[in-house]
Amino acid sequence: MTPTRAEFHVLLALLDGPRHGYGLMQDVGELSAGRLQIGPGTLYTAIKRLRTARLISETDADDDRRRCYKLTRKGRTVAEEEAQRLSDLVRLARKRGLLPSTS
Amino acid sequence: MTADRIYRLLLHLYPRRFREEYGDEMLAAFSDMRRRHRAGGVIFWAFVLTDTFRAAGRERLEAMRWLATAACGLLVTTMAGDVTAWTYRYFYHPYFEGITIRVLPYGAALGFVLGASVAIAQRLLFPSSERRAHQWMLASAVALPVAVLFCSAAVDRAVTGVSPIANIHPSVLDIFVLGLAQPRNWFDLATQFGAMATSAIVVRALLMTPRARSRHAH
Repeated sequence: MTPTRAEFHVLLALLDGPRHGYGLMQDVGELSAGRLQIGPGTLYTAIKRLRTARLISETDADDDRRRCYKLTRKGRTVAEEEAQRLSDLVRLARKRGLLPSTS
Repeated sequence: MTADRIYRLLLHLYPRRFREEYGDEMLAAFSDMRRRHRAGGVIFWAFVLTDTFRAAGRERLEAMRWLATAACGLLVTTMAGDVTAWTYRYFYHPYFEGITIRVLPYGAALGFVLGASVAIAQRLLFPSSERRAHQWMLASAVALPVAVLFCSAAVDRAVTGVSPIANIHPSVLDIFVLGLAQPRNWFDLATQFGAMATSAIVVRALLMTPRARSRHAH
């Protein structure tokens, strides 16, 4: 499965450990430096899709008794593959002069 | 009306199953978001409404995929029935008259229908990772065209004044060689759609038992 932008950000947010829904919304905003703000609707449709694909799973509730989600091994692999794909694209864009070279 | 109550109403835009699974959490996340940002202005509500309509629309579409599968099965079944019937008529010769020789192409057509339904549904409708969707596709592809074949034959017989049940013993094979899934009029077509929808609902109910639902959710 290729994760969407919001789904990939959710996977990235879960790399630090389990989160509940609102925590994920905050983390996604911070990770994207405010460029991607997701609401509850986008978040939970992403969570549903990621759970169906077994990329994340439910874990014990937190102190507020909210359901928390954690990354599965498969989820980590998919996140790594997606990151690699994006990295390759950036490298290609640099090679073609679309982005400035880092060196 | 409080903001939470408005959001609770908005949650009804989502399919029931999704709402039951995530509705409370979404409401809690919405409340946190509103408190944290002390929000309540036009921009906040524009964001919430956009998010809700977009996500709910996507989920509704997702929930309707079984209908798309049914429509796909109907289309393939009808096309296969037509092609087989045209081929049979074109190459008709009295020498080949007989139940066996007539059943064979229709049996082949049925196999083609099932195979094509599976292939088309798999290619067009479902991402490979969706397990439930695969169950759906497979069950719909098998059950729906068969339902259409039988219902169509039954309607043909009803229209021509022959009771399909009373006549079933001597002509059980006729179900495969008469009528088929070729709609001859709007009533026939509507009946096919009705048969599709009914069998799809039955298949869905059978597949999505509480146990399967729970396994899917976790």
